[in-house]
Amino acid sequence: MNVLYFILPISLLFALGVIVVFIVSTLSGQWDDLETPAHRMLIDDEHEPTGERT
Amino acid sequence: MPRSFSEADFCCGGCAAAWEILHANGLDSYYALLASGDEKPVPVTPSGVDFGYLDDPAFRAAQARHDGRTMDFYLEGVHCAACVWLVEKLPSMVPGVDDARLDLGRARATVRLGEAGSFAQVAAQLDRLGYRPHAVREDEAARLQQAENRRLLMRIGVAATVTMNLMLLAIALYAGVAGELADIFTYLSAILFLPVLFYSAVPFYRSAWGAARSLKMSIDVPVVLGIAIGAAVSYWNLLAPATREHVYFDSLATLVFLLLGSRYLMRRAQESALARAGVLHNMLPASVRRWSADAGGFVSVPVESVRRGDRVEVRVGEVFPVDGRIVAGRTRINAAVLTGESRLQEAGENTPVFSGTVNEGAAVEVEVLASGAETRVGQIVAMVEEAQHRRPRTAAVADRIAGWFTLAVLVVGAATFLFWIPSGADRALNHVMALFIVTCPCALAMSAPVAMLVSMGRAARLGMIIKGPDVFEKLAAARTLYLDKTGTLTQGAYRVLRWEFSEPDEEPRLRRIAYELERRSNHPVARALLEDLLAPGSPPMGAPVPVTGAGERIGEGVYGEVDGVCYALRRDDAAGTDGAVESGVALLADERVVARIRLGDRLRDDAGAMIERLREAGMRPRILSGDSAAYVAAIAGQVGIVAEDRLAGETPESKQARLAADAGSVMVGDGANDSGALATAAVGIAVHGGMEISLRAADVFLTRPGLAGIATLVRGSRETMQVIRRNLLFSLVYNLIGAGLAVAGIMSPLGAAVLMPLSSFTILGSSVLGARSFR
Repeated sequence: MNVLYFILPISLLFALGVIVVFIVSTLSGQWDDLETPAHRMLIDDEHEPTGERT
Repeated sequence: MPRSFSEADFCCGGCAAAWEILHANGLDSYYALLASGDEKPVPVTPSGVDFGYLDDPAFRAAQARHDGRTMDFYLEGVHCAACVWLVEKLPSMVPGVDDARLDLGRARATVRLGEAGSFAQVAAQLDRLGYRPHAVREDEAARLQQAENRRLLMRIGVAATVTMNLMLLAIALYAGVAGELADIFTYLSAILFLPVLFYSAVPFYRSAWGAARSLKMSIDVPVVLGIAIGAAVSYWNLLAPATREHVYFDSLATLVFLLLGSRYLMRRAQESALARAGVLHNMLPASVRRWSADAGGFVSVPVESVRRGDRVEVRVGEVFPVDGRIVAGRTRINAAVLTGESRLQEAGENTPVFSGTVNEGAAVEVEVLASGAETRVGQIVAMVEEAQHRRPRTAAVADRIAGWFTLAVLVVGAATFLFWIPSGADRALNHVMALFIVTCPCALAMSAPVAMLVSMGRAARLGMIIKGPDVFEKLAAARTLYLDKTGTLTQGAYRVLRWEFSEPDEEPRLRRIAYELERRSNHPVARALLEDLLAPGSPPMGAPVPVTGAGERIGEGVYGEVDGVCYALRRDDAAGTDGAVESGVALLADERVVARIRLGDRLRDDAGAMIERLREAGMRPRILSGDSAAYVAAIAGQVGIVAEDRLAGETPESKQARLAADAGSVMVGDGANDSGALATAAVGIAVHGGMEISLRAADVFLTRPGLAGIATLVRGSRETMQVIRRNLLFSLVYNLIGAGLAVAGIMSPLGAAVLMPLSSFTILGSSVLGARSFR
């Protein structure tokens, strides 16, 4: 069971990382609009030979 | 995949125009996206509003965001992926646009311009595409709301992460980890729980403290009591090796997480309902054309800058933006939003006009007497706001039960302690603690919000936007329902009621002639006739006939020659005003009447069915109208509402007074004249197409035409309340079983840990099954 002494701190660090990522994404407004992105992903990027995006 | 279209592929000229814009900009894949959805193409009718005022420097400074280049627009008619795509392609359609983003849920487009862009061009392009834009300001309240949402979400995130880690440790403990590892796991749980206790659960402390300070009971009081006692007991038990296994950190964290989550979802649902109500639906125009001596003509300016004494021009079909008097021109005015009277009023020079009413006749010039808050509509808005302010907040079901619940738990706790005290204070204390843990009101606190949330979501998909969760309870209890007439029970516009032909054989030919004569006219009667002639299911018209010398004489009618016979459509004063008929026109052939057409405001198609369903549900429908008794009687007779339930000739103030006197009743309306009553009623329902002020005043508004939603809403509300009562019953039964076991001293930590989530999930399941009418 000694492996637990090694795994526990790692899992806690991992949890801390998850919280940090979540807070950063919240503050950057990622969760403010939950509806539009679901539609936006339906839109394919068009391949334009000139390389210039409109 | 661009497809090629010919003129014949479009339902109307508007769609063809939209296609031309898209095609010219190389945006044909809109149609591929459109075809992938289940949306039906709708005719695009640009409003033709002059958006020049958007580039007015003063307006831009006041309306744009801090950088002066970004403006937010509310767009009418956005609803699918293709709309998102199209709006966000603005930079490639309008020169000078840097970026455009659309928030579909709130129908907000945020447009950022480059150095030389014009908001007027952006708005005009959006308008041509069929999304009528309204410039909106992202105000302070909205920013605070967003910040609060983010804070709440962070608390939920912390609670969720901690809860899952705590469960991991707790499962190991329940499974029988012993010795040094058990101690480590327990201590670790105690540390992990701290952020939940001091960060995530803070909103409950605030709300419970607020309730306690004002001596009110709320469901948050027992919740906080449960958290406080649970935490205290768990940390106390941590100190002594003998009791170390009796810690409840995982259960408490789960409680906080689930409650925060249900509250967050509730908040979002309510906000999206409020956001949809807070927009300018066919309310007053944002701009007016004001006479400018410098320009030598009428110039588009923001309505805020208009002053008393200014002269403005109002075209046909436009809403009067100010109160004033006509100084040039003759017209007809539809004042139904203010008076409830569906008949058009004749207006000439010196006739007073009121903002919110619609100019149906011809372009006129108006001298401004009052604008903004000083207008009649402005005063009604103030009245609505005051009524909403005064309305008492009623305690929700769960809050009412919370008081009794807390009391019961405390009493049973005291009794348990006294019962076990002979076998030692330690043991007695432990059993009381077990009691407090199992009776933690998680399921109780979730019973109502989750059920309401499910119903609100489903109702929204059926086109009923519910602004507050207390609507269900009030609607389920209501027994009387007041209906406005014009625009609510009826369609609120001139419609053809019937045709009378003197020679029935000639009918198709005469219909065709009437069509050809009225085709070019913009008169309300002409529009009603054309709509009736072209409506699906109306009798067929004959083959096209050539008309020569067609024309229109203002105030008289239209005329033209067919096969050497001079036909004319003229006002028919002999029509009288029997029943719902408000006016008539006659078709004459060489001055001989060949057909009479009766016009009036027609009942909505589903009005009768709705009233029938309301009666079945035990509601008493009454008509509350500003119109005269004769018209009210004609409409009421058609839906079988008896004389004592017909209230005619009401003013906005008297409508409000009636609703104030009849506590607990429901009001259904659409116009500004109903808005005071909507705000005063226990539940106010604004129908589709109502004025913005009525949407703001109402608790519920319908986003789809028709009245069928109202009966569904009443039934659904009752079912929702049944679900809530069922949930409360479930949670009380669970608490009773748990409390019984705890009092008897046979409740183990494992038992408590299993029972609590089980009760919560039962509630969730029961709520998701939900109200059947809304499905």
